[in-house]
Amino acid sequence: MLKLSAEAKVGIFVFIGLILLVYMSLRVGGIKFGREEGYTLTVRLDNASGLDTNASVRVAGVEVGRVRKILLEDNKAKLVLRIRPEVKIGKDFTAVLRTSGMLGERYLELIPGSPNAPSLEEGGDITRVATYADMEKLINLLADVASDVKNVTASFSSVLGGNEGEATLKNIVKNLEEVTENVNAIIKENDKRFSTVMVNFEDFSASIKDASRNLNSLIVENKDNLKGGVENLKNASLKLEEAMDTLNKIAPKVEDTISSVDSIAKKIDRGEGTLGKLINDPTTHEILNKTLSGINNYIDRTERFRTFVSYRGEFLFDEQDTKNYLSLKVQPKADKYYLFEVVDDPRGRRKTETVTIGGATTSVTKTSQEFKLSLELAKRFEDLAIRGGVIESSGGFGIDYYMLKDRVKIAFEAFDFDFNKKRNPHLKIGTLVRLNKYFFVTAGYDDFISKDGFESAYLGVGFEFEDEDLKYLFTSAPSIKP
Amino acid sequence: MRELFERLGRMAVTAVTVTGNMFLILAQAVYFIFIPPYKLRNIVKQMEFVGVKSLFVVILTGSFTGMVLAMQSFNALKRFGAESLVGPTVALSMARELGPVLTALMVTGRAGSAMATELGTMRVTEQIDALYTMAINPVKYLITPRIVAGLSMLPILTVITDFVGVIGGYFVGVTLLNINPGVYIGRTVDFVNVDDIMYGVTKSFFFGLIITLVASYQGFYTTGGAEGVGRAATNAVVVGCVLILVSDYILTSIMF
Repeated sequence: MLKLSAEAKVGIFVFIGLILLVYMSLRVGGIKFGREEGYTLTVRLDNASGLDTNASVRVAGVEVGRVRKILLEDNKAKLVLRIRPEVKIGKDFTAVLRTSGMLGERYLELIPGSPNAPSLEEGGDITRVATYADMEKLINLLADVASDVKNVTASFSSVLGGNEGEATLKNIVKNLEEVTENVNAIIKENDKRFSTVMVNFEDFSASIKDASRNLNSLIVENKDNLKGGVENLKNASLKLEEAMDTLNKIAPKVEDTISSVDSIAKKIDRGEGTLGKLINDPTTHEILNKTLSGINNYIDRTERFRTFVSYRGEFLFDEQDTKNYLSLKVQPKADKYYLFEVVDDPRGRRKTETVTIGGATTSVTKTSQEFKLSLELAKRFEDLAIRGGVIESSGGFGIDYYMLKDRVKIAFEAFDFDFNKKRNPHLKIGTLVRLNKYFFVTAGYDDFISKDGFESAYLGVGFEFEDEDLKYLFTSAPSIKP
Repeated sequence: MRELFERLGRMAVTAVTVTGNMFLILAQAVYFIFIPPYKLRNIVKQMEFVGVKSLFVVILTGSFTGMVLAMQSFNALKRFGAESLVGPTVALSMARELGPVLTALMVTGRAGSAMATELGTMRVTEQIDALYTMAINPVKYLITPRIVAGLSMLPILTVITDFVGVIGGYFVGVTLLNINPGVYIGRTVDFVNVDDIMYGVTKSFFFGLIITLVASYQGFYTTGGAEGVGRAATNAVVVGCVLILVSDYILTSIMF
């Protein structure tokens, strides 16, 4: 024998193993390389239970393709079939879900239609679908039926079968014969009795005749009494007639009343008269609506309208003096308010004046002791408020940021802009912390980019309260249309 | 009482040590697979030992398993008149379970014990220490080739077992039990998927690793002379077989 090296042995061994693996895989899976041959068709079934992908599609029991996909579409099972290229499926083929054998797998049978029908192309749809009774159910049903039939025949045979059964049948026939004979004899024997029965019956009818005659005579005897009764009935009906008469007389009046009410109603309906106009004119309704909504609006505004009065004093450390603010905040809406403020500033009001002395022009910043006024309009966006207008008797604006449910406010304001650049604008940044509903403290830095040495940290306290009386003072002014 | 706890503790420590050492060896062996020189001759030798020389025993077990499966399932399925399902039964059981597991068990018995003995003897006769002195890493020289051989040969042996098993089943079913040959093959092809075969092959990779790793470990850490060598061989087979069956369950539950 050929002497093989270890390498050669391993090589042959591996080769055999791989060949077997490939062979089995091909045999079992039918792996095809490249594109799968054939064309696709679709079928829609009500129920595809038990059908797996790759189930076979058969025509006359011969596999012609496979079910490639089972999808759900509009609550129906949509099957995508891959049919071999050489097989022609006609348009009138019928698709049926079947089971091979009793326990076998499910497959799709395509039942051919007429041989002349055109065949389906790639992507075609098999529209004819038939449902067959489930094989198992059918078998169960047949088994039940068969066992019932069997029971019946069994009892029949046990009753009728064999010698005994025959004998009983003979007996029955014999008995029947006897019975008819007996009946015949009885009728013959009782012929006379029957005739007497008939005679008795005749007598009975004669007695009934007598009884009716007696009833008649009874009525004749009591004729008068009956008459009186009838008379009374007559009187009563007469009285009823009178009552009806009176009622008849009233009726036209009632009719008149009703008709006049009717005419009034009609007039109102047509829009005649004040009431009619009032009711029929659509503008009435609108006006009323408007009025009501106006009233509502007014009440709402009054409700919404809030006024606050506050005072705060801020101690300026560098100045060693207090700056006082008295303010009135009018808040017609939750996100909008007007602020009037009177400010007493120890540093006074500044003005830059141009002084010309002997041809040389110098600008001088002067301060004068007087109250300063602020008049601002503020609008609030969520936690941010922007305000602007006149701040401390000069144009300016401010930004406020609210935190912790409005308990803390950080404010920045800029005003007193001097466009000659002689002095910097007055900038102020500070915070306000509410201690409770009425009292608050403030702290910050005032005029912090001042050129004139006015910059100063400050610390202040103040209070604020809502004034109901002032509120009505403002809202009692005539309300303007919304 | 104290002794009992000591023993328990010792067992736990041993278990952890063994597992740890095994993984260390595995990590080293796998690392050296990619480090040249590759020593192909060494690997081929092991492949021949694990694969080619196990062929006969594997063919024998595979065919007889297939035959006995066919016979047993025929008896059961005849009662339902479903004799045609004998083919799928044999093929599916071979491909999914019996092929990989039986092959692995046979290889453990044949090659695993031999490996453990060989390495154990080398250890006891201080040949492994000699390798160290020659600056040859014994893990690379001895264990890596064995693990590579196990990983590559077991799947091929499994495929052969599957095939031989189906042939054996066919032989019994068709010639002895008179099942229609067309039906036998047709049903088998209908029911078995490529996936079934591939699952079996995937399992056999793991089995190949387990067999060679356990055997190498047991041999490599042999102590106590000739007696120790014997113990190593026994342990290699017992631990290997148990691990194969346990991991088979785990792999099956993951894959199906």
